[in-house]
Amino acid sequence: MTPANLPVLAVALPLILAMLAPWLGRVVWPLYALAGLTLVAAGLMPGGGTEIPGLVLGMTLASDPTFGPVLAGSGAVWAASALHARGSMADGPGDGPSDGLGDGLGDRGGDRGRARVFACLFGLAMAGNALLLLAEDMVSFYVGYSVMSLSAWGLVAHRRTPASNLAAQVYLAFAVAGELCLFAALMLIDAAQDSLLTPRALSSAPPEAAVWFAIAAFGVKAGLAPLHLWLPLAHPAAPVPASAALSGAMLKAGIVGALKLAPPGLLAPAAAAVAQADGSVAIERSLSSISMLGDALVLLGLFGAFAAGLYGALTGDRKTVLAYSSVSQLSLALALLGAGYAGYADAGLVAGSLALFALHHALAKGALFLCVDSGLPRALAIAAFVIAALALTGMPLTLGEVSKRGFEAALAAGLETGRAAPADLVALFAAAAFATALVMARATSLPWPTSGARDPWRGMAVLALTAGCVGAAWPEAAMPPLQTMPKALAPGLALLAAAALLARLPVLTASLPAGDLLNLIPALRPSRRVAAHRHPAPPSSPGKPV
Amino acid sequence: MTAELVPLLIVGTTLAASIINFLTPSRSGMILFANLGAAAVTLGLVVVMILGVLTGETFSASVPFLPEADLVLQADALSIVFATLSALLWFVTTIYAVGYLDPRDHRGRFFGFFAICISATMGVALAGNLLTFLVFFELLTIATYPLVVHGGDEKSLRAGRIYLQYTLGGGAAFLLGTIGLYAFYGSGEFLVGGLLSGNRPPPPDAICIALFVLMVGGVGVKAALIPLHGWLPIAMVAPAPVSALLHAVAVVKTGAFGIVRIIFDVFGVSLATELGLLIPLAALAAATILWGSIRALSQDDLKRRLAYSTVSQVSYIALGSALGNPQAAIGGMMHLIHQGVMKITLFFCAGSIAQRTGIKTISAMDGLGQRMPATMAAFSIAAVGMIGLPPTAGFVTKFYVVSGGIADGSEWVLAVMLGSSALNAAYFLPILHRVWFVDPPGGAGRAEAGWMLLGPPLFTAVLTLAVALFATSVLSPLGWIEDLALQEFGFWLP
Repeated sequence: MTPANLPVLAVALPLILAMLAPWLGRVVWPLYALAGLTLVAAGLMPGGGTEIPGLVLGMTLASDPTFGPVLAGSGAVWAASALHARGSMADGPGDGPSDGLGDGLGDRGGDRGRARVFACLFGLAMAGNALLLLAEDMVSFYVGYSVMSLSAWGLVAHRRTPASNLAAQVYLAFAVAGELCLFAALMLIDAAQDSLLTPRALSSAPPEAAVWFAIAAFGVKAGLAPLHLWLPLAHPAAPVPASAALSGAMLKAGIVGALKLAPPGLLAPAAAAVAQADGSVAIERSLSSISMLGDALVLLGLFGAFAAGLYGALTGDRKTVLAYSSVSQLSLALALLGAGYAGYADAGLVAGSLALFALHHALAKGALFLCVDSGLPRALAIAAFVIAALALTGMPLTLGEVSKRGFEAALAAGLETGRAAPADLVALFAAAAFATALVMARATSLPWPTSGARDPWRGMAVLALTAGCVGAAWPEAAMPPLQTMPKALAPGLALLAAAALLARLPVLTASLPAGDLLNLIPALRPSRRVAAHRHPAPPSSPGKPV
Repeated sequence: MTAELVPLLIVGTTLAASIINFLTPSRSGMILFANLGAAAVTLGLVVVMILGVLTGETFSASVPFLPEADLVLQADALSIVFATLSALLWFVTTIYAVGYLDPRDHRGRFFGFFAICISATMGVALAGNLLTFLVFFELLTIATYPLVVHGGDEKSLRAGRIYLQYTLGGGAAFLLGTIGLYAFYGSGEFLVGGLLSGNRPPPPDAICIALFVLMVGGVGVKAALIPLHGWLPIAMVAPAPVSALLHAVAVVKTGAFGIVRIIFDVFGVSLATELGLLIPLAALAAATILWGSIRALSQDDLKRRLAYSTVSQVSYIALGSALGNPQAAIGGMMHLIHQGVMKITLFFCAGSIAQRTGIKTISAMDGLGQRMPATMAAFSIAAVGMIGLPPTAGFVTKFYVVSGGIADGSEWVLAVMLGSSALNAAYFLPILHRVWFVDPPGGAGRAEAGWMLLGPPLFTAVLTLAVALFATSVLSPLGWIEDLALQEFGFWLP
């Protein structure tokens, strides 16, 4: 096997396994993990532009070095989620995950049928995700995106509780809307390229209308407020490994899609600064509706980063808190993307730092979600959770630090060469780490089950991702210089302090419902419908604060 | 010599099959083999034609009929597309129908008329001029009637009456248009690029417009363009294999095929555009696409919802053809095949569900995914195809139609297709939700269909994926249709 074949293999393997899943039983999960590792390998060894002319409208798969970190991160999360599922998606009754919302699979009749559907859709979602990451042409990207979105619907709906039903319906409504926006974007780009019959990758800036459609589509996927409403419902409703894959890998499709279909490098006003040729002022920039879109993204993204952080800190279920943290994190990433469009950040650096962010967030958020049902001893589970949470705040010596420095570098370069931003973006982005610290403190301080089933599969998955959060940072030598040490450590220390405080202040245990704005619609009101039908917590695991 | 025989043999084989059916006792096992044999022979003959056309052979047979107007059966690129589809789907529908029908229930009569329908459809596909088209088109109307009323109850008879009123009315208009064309122009053969865009000057504009309205209005009844679509949801009382046939291949498809023929091979795109005939037709098709889907939303009867969906989907063909752009025309002609493959899957599944569980309404479909997993997997693939999500057949259609529309400056096509997709999602995805993510009512066990009811929908579901997944491969119909569309638009790009 050569690196050239890896992209094809990374897509084909989960696809074939998904088709065989109904007959493979639990053996399929370790095999899925292997498929995830193939994706990691494809990310680590860029290259391999394999053209498969007969497929769809002409398909080209390659591992683009820009997206190497995303591929590695997504592959790792898929692999870990598959291992976790091997342990948690049990066949027998009473074996379900103990995440407070109840069952995994083993509670009622028809279990095996449902387990098969879940295993099949898990593989399809993985294949779709791999395809969209590796696609070199727009149609293949859309195929992957669509397969992934539709399959994930089944992962969210898996439990068949009233909560998961509502979550699945809301998810589907948003996903279809995003899908249609993406189709519109694709068609407008195709028309502008004049690429009769063979839609290729972008060679020139896409039309502005297409960019708006694309950002709407990817905003849905990446949880841009107010398109994020599906997200805090879907994550808690799905089984743990599906939540991890959804948050760790699938949300990144929004970021990757934006970088592929609406690359800041082609759209930023700096790229269009041809005014110099007239001999007029060199800094004059041709402002288009794209820089307006950039401003909107910066505004909505920063708002989402803080608001989701605060709101999430006031919700009361660990997976819901984590989901809001994902909204907060991805919003920050979209804000950086917007800064790229608006010219506040260096467009060339934006793509690289977003890819690095995707890797970091995949590992950390994957680990956090899997920790919810870790199969590890309680102390070890909490330790892993805290390490991943600290990574999320950008603690030195973690990948989070590397990602944070990437953001800072892109913004700093924009200060020198780009448009002047109306606010101190560097400071605002840095402050967002405190919102993360707050929401992660809440997640840490929520009661942990005293004892759960020990399970090597789950434990292995959690520990591997947690180790990745720290270990992957070493080659980058992420230790900041001594004089900036206090600043770099501050969010992490804030997290620890807040977690300790929150756990001891019973006043702060009141919780807001998941799905924020959706609760304003009486007919939906997820919290009410969920609360009315909530399963009682398993008697074997009485909660106890940290 | 053989070149003359092949088209005649195709129509003849199917007619012979029909005679065998009428003569064979209902319970006989012969029926399956006679029909499958005839279908296989027909399929083989179509393959011979395809290979022949690829090597430059022409297939044409002429039978004296009226003075100055022979019946002509010929194989051009477009007829081969339709003939292949019909032969293939006839083959699978035969297997399905044998599994579906009770042998005591006039099976011989059913298969007899069924074979005549296919024969007529083949005639329509291979017709070389308007007169031949008309003859087989009307034969189809007559032969379908006994199938619609097969149940024999009051509801079926009423449906049959309404079906005849609509289609005979449409047939009369089409007849008038055809006579008019022969009277004013002297001939009616189908020519690539358009008969009336040919060497001789066309009749005066007003007459051309009148002829176009009469002819398209006539075939538009079968193609279920609004407001001529009323018969289709009512004809739903027919047995599942008939619905599958009516919706996917024979009736609606001959209507849509007629529209394609009239636009491209009778009038020609240039003349039709000049006369301003295409924009109103495109608008009507767009309205049908949306209206059919809006009506489908509120149907709880599964087959009725599928029927309104057909109203909507068949107009993709008319829309693609009426945009006057080669890209869109490719999309429209592809949808001849795509809609057939997808819709026949859905009707097969609806029939299997009704036969195995007695469930006919969507609200009773809870948990069917656990009870009939393979059938519902096929259903789901076809439903996703109807929405037009990749990688399914529907996506390829949508891609080409919209691409052509935008290239032509008709951005509204994108809006129509987005609306249609959203509506399709709104009436298909809730079904999938019920089927897969709601538990079946207590006590309901597995009810998976036997191989004769399961094989056909699985095969067509795989086709739904395959025509999209391998769209640009050598074996795909896309390449064929691209060449065809480019010929019709007068430029040939190898």
